[in-house]
Amino acid sequence: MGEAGLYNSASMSTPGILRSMGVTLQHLVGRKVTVRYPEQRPALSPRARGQHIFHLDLCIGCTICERVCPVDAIYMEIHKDPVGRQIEVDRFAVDMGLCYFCGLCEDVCPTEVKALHLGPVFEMAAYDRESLVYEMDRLQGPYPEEIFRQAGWVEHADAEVRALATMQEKAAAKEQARQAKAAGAASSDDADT
Amino acid sequence: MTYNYYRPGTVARDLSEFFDVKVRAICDKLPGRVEQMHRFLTGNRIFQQRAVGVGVLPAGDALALSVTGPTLRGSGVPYDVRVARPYACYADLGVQVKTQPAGDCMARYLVRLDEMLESRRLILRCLELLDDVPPDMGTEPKLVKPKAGREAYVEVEGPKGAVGCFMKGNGSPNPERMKWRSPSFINLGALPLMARGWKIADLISIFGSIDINMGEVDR
Amino acid sequence: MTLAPAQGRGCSAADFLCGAGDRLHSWLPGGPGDVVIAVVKVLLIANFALLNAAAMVFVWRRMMAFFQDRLGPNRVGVAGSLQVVADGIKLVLKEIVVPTRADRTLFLLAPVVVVFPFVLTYAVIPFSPTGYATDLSIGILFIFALTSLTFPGVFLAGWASNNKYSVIGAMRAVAQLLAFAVPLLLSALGVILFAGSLSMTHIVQAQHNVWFIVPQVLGAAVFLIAAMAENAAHPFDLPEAESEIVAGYSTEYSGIAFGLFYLAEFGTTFTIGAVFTTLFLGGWLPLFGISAIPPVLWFLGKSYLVFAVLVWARFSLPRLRIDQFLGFGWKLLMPVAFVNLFVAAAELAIFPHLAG
Repeated sequence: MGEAGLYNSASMSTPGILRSMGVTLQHLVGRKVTVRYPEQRPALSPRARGQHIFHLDLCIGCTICERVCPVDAIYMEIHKDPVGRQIEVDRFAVDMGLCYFCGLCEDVCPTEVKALHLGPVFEMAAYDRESLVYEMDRLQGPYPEEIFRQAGWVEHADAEVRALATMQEKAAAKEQARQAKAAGAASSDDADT
Repeated sequence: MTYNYYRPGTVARDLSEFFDVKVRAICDKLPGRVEQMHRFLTGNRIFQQRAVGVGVLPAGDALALSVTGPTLRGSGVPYDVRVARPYACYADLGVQVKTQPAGDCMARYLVRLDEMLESRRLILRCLELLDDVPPDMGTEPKLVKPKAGREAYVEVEGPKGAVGCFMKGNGSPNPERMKWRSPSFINLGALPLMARGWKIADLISIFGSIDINMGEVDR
Repeated sequence: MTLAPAQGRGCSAADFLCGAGDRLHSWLPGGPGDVVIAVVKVLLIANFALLNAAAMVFVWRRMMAFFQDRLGPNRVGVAGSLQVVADGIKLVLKEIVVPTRADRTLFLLAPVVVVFPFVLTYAVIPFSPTGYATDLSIGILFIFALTSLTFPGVFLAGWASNNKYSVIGAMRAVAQLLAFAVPLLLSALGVILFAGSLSMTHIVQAQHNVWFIVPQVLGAAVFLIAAMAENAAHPFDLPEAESEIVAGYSTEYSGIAFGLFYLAEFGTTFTIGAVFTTLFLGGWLPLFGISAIPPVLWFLGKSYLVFAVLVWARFSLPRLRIDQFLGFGWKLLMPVAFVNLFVAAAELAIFPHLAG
């Protein structure tokens, strides 16, 4: 309240007008905030929600992202491999025309290193609506660790490295358990690698 | 950090790496900017002629019309949801309620500038408190199924006024009834009282001083 | 027969306009020479008036942007200089939508009535010792008469639009222009007292001892404020207040009709600069007698400086309400203008050598 008290009394003074003009003059010669796009790019956070990045090798095919999307912008087709009993992802597409980049699909992805995450790429303008449906080939991009490291977020990048290590350990442990079970079930069967 | 950051029981993700640095940078710049605003407008005779005494809302009428937020505090009533019914960690922060006695456009404008500095103080206090907070992020419940007939109403202090949410459950994960108290809509009800007797040009000033978000009004 | 200025024929070395006039006259001596020179002058000045107004639009937008911490037009042409050309082409290609029940003739006539006096004002402004279209002995009266011609133009625009808010804007504009025409004239009267003549060229030459802004500080301030109000510039631009009545009297205008209003407004800001320079800043007279710089550049430099100050004021101050600034005009500015007149008379009595 202290600072406000100074300006409480309506001091009808003309110097006030000249002071206003002084403030404007300071801005005349000050730094300008315009980013001269496209020569200059705005500096975005690595967590800025832009175009999706999908890693087929990490995805386990749970389709939670497809179900959680509020506008049903994700299209997935999966089938269960009868031999190895693993889920294979046949199609993963995101309709950028519908998506409003809320990031819920990224949040619910259960893998430690997210198979689906949103990178800071935002230049996706197109001339027709059909080309806005991005299939797997257009959803390729760097792993989260690389995005963080490029932005200088070292702690987050290291966390991603640890997450990847955890994932690989779990996968190796799972593989070992399966091999043990297959060996224990006797007879010919091969361990698929 | 937008409204998308909140999740029931927790937040979407942990703070980013340079959060502290960036927030302090903004907090450093803010007092200078508010000071500049005062130099630019508050002492300007023309602005004073347009804002002082214009659109007075007496305190009694403001309370009768359920006005909240800076519009109410500009009429001298020290009501702030963060102090009246503290939520989150506001009880620990010691929020100071900023008021102005006049109830005109200038008063509402000054209240907002004062609140900017108060928010800055609260932010810096929160940054200090963050050091003592354990790194546990809390858990987000997967599903909430309140019993049938249970009702809840919660208010928070938004920038336009008190934002409230009322929900009534019926035993399923979907609410039976949900209603938002939108401060812009309710504050707008005070406009006829404030604008009576003023000119078209003043209507703009008064309407601007209530700080309406039309999307919230049409909700 | 030569086009000698009142003082005699000498052309200073740096005055290239005068030198060009001399050379042209030596090729075509006599009557035809005079006619050709007169035509050339008229063409140059009229085109300057309009092209300069367009260029000022660009400078204005750039300055406005810089005040607001941003860059302004910087893509079209070198550093955005062709932006106005692009905007002009766009405006010309747009359809002029005439409202159904609007008076079509008056509607289309109004922009012309507003632009015409604006261009005509430049006929009597002395750009340099010989750089003027004509030297009327009632030069300054002519200019004020022309500025008064904008009243009917503006009211015509508002009335012919068949739109309540346009009429409100037009009425505000007329009230405002009337209210501030009086202090404008009174402040100029002080200068006329000093110069002893209504002719613009005489006023400039009368300032060879001291520029009139020095003895007439009050008059200069009154003139500047009244001229800003005449131009419907901030903080007096309620007639075209954007956020309140869309665009006031020019709401219903689109295409080049709107473009003409726009042009007239920006051009008038420069005209104010030019007239202020002539009356108070010594016109084309050099500062400290640096005669190496051509007089026309002195004149333009000073005019642009005043223009810049006006733009600066425009983007720093909030808008006054109509009754507030009408009160300001009648109750404050006019008495001050009268006081200024007495001060001018007193100064002349005490320091008679100030008069030209």
